[in-house]
Amino acid sequence: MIKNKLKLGVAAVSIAGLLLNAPSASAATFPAKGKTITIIVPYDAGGGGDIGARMLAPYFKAAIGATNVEIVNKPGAGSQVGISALAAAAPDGYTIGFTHLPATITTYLDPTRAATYNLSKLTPLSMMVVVPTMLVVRGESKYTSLKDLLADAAAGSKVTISDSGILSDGHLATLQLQQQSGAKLQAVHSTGGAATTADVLGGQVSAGTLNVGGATNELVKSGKLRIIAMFSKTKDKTFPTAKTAKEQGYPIYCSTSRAISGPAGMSNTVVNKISTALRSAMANPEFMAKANAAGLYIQFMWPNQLQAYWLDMQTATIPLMALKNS
Amino acid sequence: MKRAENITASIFMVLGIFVIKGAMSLIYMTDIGPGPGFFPLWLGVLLLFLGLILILQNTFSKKKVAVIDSEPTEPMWPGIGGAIRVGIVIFSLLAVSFFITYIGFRVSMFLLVFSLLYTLGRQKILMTLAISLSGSFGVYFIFTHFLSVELPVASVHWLSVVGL
Amino acid sequence: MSTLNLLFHGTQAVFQPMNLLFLVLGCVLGQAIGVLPGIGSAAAIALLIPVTLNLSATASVIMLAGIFYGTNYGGTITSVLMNTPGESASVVTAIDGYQMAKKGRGGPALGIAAIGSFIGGTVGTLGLAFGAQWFSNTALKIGASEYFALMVFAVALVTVLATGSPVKALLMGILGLLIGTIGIDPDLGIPRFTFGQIKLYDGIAFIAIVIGFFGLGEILVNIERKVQDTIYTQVGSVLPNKQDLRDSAGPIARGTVIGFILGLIPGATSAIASFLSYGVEVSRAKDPSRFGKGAIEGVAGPETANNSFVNANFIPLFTLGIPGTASIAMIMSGMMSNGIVPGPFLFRDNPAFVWTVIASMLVGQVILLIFNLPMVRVWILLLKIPYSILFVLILEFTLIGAYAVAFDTFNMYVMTISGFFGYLFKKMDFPAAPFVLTLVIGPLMEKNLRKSLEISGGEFAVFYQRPLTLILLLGAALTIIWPIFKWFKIYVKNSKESPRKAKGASSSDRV
Repeated sequence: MIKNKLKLGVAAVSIAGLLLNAPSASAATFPAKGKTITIIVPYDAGGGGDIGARMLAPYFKAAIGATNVEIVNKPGAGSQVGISALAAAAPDGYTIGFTHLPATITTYLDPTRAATYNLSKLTPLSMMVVVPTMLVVRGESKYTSLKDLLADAAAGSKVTISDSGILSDGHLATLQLQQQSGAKLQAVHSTGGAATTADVLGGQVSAGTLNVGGATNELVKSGKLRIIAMFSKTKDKTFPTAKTAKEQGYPIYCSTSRAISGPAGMSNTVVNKISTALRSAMANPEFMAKANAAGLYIQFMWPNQLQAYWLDMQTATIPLMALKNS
Repeated sequence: MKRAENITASIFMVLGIFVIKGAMSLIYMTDIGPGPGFFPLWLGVLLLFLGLILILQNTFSKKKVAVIDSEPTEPMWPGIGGAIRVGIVIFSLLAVSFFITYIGFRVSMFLLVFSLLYTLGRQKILMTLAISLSGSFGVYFIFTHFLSVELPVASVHWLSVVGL
Repeated sequence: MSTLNLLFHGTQAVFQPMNLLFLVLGCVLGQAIGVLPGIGSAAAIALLIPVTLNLSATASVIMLAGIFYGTNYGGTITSVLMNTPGESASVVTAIDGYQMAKKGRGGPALGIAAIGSFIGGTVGTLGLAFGAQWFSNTALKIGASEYFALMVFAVALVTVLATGSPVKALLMGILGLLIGTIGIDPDLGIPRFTFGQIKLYDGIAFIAIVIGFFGLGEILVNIERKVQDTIYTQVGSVLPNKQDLRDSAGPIARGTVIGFILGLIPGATSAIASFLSYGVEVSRAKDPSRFGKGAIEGVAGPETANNSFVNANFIPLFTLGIPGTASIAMIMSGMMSNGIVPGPFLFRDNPAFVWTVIASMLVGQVILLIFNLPMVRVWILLLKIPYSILFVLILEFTLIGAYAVAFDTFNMYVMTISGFFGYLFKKMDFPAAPFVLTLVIGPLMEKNLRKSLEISGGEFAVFYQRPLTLILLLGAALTIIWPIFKWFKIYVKNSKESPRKAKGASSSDRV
């Protein structure tokens, strides 16, 4: 159900929440009977990650024993509108939300976006989905490895790489590849994964960056697309023969992931309760079956693991911000 | 007619200048082509240029415009009564947009439909009541119950306690 | 098994009670969502995906698809009757459809829209059944530069050929492009003209502007006179007559092709298909000045195009797993949630599913036609409501529509202000069509211009070395130059006849 409440209404509710929730025993009794845990999805209903969130919600509700768990879509400005609201919410555990990476990081690292949040304004709770990024070419392409592509670029050929938008995970991979190899690669920004797939299949570009999963896997299996590098630390379980970029001499790790966070200042007790509940929800075999069918790469992380993962990604992204317009 | 057009054209030109100014602070060209400032800058220039043409057309070749432009002969602007009616509608829509977050969809729509039907529409009071009720409470029920679309509810205390 | 055989088996499966039930349900829901303001098919499908998890995959997708194409049938109704488009695809229909309704020809407008939608939808589906592989592979050859050129062509058609003063048309076109630039720039992600407001980062909601500009603007014009006096003249005939059908045959045929081609391109929207069809019809008309005043071609073409578009949208999805629009991406989600992955193996691995869904789309078109033609009689009864009541209902409708775009009162203000400007521009004869077209096309045009240059590495040669791009751009140039040339010819002729009084002569000489 869409429950896009008005800003004012939400503000009123959260103020009421602050007043009602005396700071003392609130963490120990979390979640209190009769109270709703709101999960902010900073994208449209049905859009990026929304369906996965809706899939997870009932299992999370059962695991944490909450009276009610509600998904609230707060789309806008990439995900900036929803995450701004998340960061501004009361840190009582009743408002948590999705913070996709690297989108969340690149938004606050870009000064033109004037974001009101960064990692210090959020509490990482757990990771839900990590989807590795890969570099693909079409079946007819002459490139079979990263080396082919980079050698061609170094020899002066025009090599274009399509991604799903500026500062997307794929674009960050292209920038790092360019930085590490010194070859001239031209990034082409499409309007999303679907358009990138079309660009690559139609031969409009030399290569493209896509995420593992769903229809992309079918295209790879059929031979219409060929993986020339996976930007992951280990080999992919679906495509064990595909080489990682690291194996080919370029240690580049990129993925798009869906982390769950809360506002900064949450008590440890509440953080533990939520992340434990999320873990058992994600481990539920019934949920796993649904997630697999929908092509979600479920990967849980504890708060401290997520924090480290986030910081790693942030550190890798900062130097790339200056190169983004090239 | 001509005067109104000239005023509009001038507003377009002012807008053009404003846009050009705004576009100047954006990147005009990148190493591969037009940047974010390119489009707006030229749009601003065109606005300025076309606004000027429109004014020139109106001043110098009164008849030539009429060849392409088949104008209605009726008087252009409303009388006092018409202007007031237009004003009332705009004002009530803005009022609803503002108050709906406080008093909710049902109350604000009821007031809007009721007052407009009664004043501008000059309907009988019973008819007005019936339409206002179905247009507010009825519509709310349909949207929230059958379509799962949430419409604003009241945020002020004395209305939210009675469930509006 | 031959395609016909497969289709036959699919059709049999459609008539299994459960499948048929959900097909009818999907069509009715889609129709309703199209009529209701603000709620688009993408959101509606997203809401229903959780429900479908309890159904068979086939029944689920049959229903979701029904919602998708049913929406376009419903969207027409409010455009024609109230000048308030509920869907972006039916925006262009409001231009001539509403004028037809005002002249008592609302029935034929709705009738021809239903017939056109049926033909467009059916042909689109047949393309999916018989040539999906070939069409999707061919469409992949259309790149950013072709798409950019196509949009330039569309803008040229609509702005230059708009009736009235070309200067005014161009000003409105530029205004639309400018409002389109508000928000995060489509390529480098830099905010433009947002004044630091995050709410403006996604730009101003197109549909809120259009509802105000058309729907509210029209009410304001009418309300200047005492409301009691402003009543629709007559309801008139219900169905299109022979002449209407003859006039619409060409637009429907061309609309089918335009919608179909655009439906194959990822990133195109059905609004662009309907606008392009409108532009083509204006350019082909012997007397373009009829457009905007109730030309049936202006309804038949675009309404056909948007339905043909929607059904063609399934082709890249089913063959390559590429969802071209937000709504079809929702259907893809629905498929995946039900364990069916679209892509190159779909026809091989799930033939029963695919052919039942395809057949259901054909049956669905028939169902929607049967719903819509007799329903025209009911819908146009709306026009019998005295305007003194109707105007208030439309006002409420515009408010809900604007709100529902993003569940935000901000768009209610946007709608109201746009309405006031719509009113002023209407009074001064500034045409609306170029404005709404460029508003929707602007960001995509800029995006694809940038993308073309990224692909070419900054070489402008990309615009003349690719044949299709070149043809489209030349077409656009010709569209712009032709009227100037014509005007020049008249001017020369006049000055020859009376060299001293050229100005005076031209006014009496209406060519």
